[in-house]
Amino acid sequence: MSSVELKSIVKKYGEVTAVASIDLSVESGEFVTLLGPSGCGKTTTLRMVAGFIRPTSGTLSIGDVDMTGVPPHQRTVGLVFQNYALFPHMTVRKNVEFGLKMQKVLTSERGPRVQEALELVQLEALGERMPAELSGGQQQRVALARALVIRPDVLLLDEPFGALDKQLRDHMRVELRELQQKLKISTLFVTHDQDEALSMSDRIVVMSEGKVSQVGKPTEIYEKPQTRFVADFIGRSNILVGKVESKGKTINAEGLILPNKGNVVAGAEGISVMIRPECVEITQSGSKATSTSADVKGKVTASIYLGSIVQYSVQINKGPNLVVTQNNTGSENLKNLTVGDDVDVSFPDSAIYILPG
Amino acid sequence: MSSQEHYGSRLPYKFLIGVVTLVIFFLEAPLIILVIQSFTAESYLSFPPPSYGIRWYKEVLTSEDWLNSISLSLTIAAIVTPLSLVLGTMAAFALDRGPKKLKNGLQTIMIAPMVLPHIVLGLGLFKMALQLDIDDSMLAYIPAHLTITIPFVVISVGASLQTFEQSLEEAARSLGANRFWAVWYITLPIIRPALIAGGIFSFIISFDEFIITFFLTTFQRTLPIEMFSTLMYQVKPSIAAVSTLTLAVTAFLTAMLILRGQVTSGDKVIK
Amino acid sequence: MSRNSDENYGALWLLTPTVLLYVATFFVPIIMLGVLSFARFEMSVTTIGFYFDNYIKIFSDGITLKIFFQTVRLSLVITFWCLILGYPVALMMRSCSPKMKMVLLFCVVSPLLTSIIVRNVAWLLILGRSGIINDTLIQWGLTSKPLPLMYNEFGVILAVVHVYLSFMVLPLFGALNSINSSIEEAASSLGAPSWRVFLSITLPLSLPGIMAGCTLVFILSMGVYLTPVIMGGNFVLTLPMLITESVREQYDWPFASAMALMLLLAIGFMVILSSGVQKLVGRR
Repeated sequence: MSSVELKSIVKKYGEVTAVASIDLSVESGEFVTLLGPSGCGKTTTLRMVAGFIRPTSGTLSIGDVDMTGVPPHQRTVGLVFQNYALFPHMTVRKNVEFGLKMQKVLTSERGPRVQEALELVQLEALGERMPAELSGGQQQRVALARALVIRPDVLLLDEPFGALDKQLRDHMRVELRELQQKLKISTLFVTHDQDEALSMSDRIVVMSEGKVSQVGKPTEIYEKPQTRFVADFIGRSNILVGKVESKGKTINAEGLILPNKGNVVAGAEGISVMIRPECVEITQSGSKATSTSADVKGKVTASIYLGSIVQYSVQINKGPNLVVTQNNTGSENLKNLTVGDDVDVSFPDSAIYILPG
Repeated sequence: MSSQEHYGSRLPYKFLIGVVTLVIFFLEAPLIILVIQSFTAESYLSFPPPSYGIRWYKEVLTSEDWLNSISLSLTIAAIVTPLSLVLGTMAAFALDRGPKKLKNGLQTIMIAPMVLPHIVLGLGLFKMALQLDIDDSMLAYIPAHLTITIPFVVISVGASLQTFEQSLEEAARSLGANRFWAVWYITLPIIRPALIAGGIFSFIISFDEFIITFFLTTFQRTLPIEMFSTLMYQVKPSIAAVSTLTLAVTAFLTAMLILRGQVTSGDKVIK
Repeated sequence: MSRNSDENYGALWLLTPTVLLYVATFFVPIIMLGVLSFARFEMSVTTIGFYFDNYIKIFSDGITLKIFFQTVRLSLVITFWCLILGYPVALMMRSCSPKMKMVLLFCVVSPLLTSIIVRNVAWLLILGRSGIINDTLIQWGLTSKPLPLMYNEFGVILAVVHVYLSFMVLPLFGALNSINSSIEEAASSLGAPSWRVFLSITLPLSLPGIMAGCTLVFILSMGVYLTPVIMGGNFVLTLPMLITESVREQYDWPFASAMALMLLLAIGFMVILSSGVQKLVGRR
């Protein structure tokens, strides 16, 4: 049984197409993330599931019931907003109770259910506080409790971590995922943050310009992007355009000769080759180089220290400029590389990925 | 606060303080003098009064003419205020939630009676009332007063809705509230200060309205009209007493306006 | 965030009761006045038609036009004094401490909520023949007979300025408050004396507020009836007094309507003029 299913959903505003024919499903207990840059249609899609926006065409079902034209208050969805949207004039308890009151749950039944929801997010002690007296993380938990207490068919999260600082965000990410797995609640999560998407999701739906670019597990999305957009958007990457040479043995990517790992047919042109910066190895020229697939020489043109990693720009001799990152292990080799140094560059097999199509 | 040093030298600032003090004196002194004079025990007005008493208040509060006009004015304001709040709030919601491209045009229409001189509005309303044969009656006063009070509600509620976070209403709707209950339980309580302000403005404007009602009445007299007719005839201490009573009503409501505003912004922190 | 929602035409139903009300109390009555202004009034009988009698009368009876221009002149003088007295208050409200600002704001807003007639009574008790000022002056022997402080233009202007000053201060304060004070600080840090900073920066930047306040006070003053009647007796005539009289005493609706329309025309002209000036300045 799928909790949410979108079939050929289209949303147009006059001439502008916000969402162009999306098919999407969230299976029971699954955590699905809509990932994409702002304006890609991910929030519009979420708001259509919540019922605030009516699709121009297509069908939408929740819990296998057609909900396409049903107003939001008749859908059982739990929604957590980016700004939490806690009711400022009600206590935490009243906030959580509101949904039960609207669904005409008996007063006697409401108390225990509110308590249960507050315990779930570890806020049972703060029930009488007003939202303004809570920290960002606590507000976020109230919003979650309020959405969960009505026992929704699906939990919808609209960039819920956007307003938190980095440390708290990382913490809440783990907490939310644990809670979701404990309750086995189907979840549709919207974010533009790839770290959140990669770390929390069962499946990721990458969206761009109102269309789905790729659907897959986090590892598939990161390691085997299906389109140039996905490769560009997820993680840092060097994307080079090349053609197959030497009877199909090598690929010439903007002057850089690489082995034809993907066995692309001879003579093919305009192939996109993705090289992940963290997979490329560089060593100072003259030092002993490891024997790997394609050794070339280059020169460091820029170096940016980012704490856990160091990011270099390396100009390959007679070739392209590549971004290369190295883990900051404190090694001598790393510390000695400065702008202007000549380096040996090598590409392990895992570093080269040829985009399909 | 260092913003006092805007203009470098202190001399112009001291001059400014002097001028402002005079202007504030000009604004407030006449009213203070009026209040003091109303407590005279003499049969004529003078300042300062030779002796004090509440003789004129007694006279006002036992005079049938004054009491009738006070009760007529209070009745009109009491009917106009809730109606004006409901209609004005509905209009403000329509402007805020309706199509964006129509908003400016519709808003101009909604507040148009405000920029029209009341003398012209009163003239037109008088003609209309004569045509319908409803002059000198509540049927004429109420719509007339609503026309000048609604714009204030539209403006005050409209401004509040503009800063209202609409996701709160959406949250309520996702939790099972339909549009009406979402507005009832969430939006209206949150914009309460604006509703109170709109209500108080409506009450005071209706209570003080002179020229339009002046056109519409023949025999009935609202308080401002009774005051005006008395004034045309003779300036007695009773007029100062009535004025002070009016002042007290409006001052009380103004204080409510300011205090309620503080309470609502304060209880988030205190409670 | 751009709100991705469909245009909600359904919400417009909420306007219905107010629109219906306005049609009955505002639009139709104004149209009726427009029609009446072209009617003919002879021997107490009104004939609807398309006559210019009333407009010709306004320009030719020798008194209406004079009173019209007197009303315009009075309104301009009132506007001028409101600006002169209101600007320092707005300036002060901007630069004083928050607590003082609240006090000033209360002083400025509270008259808005006070009945005009009450305030006129207050002035009556101060400026009248046996008012406080004349009483005191006579007591001290500074004058033997009361000074003419009211039942003249002086009294009317004073009382109207008292009533409308708040309408000037609020837009002025709004405009001054939106000026980024770092601009002024930059100018004075470059060595400009305070009066030059004021004249070359603060004053020009507050011009939108000045225009808004002046337009508002002018419009209000053009329509003022009560204060000239109380403070001016029958010695200071304004167009609204003429309108009221011709309807209430002579039942001459056509002529009153024509004068009302003329009043609207003058106000419309002023609004267009001020928005024109604002555009001109904005472009500079």
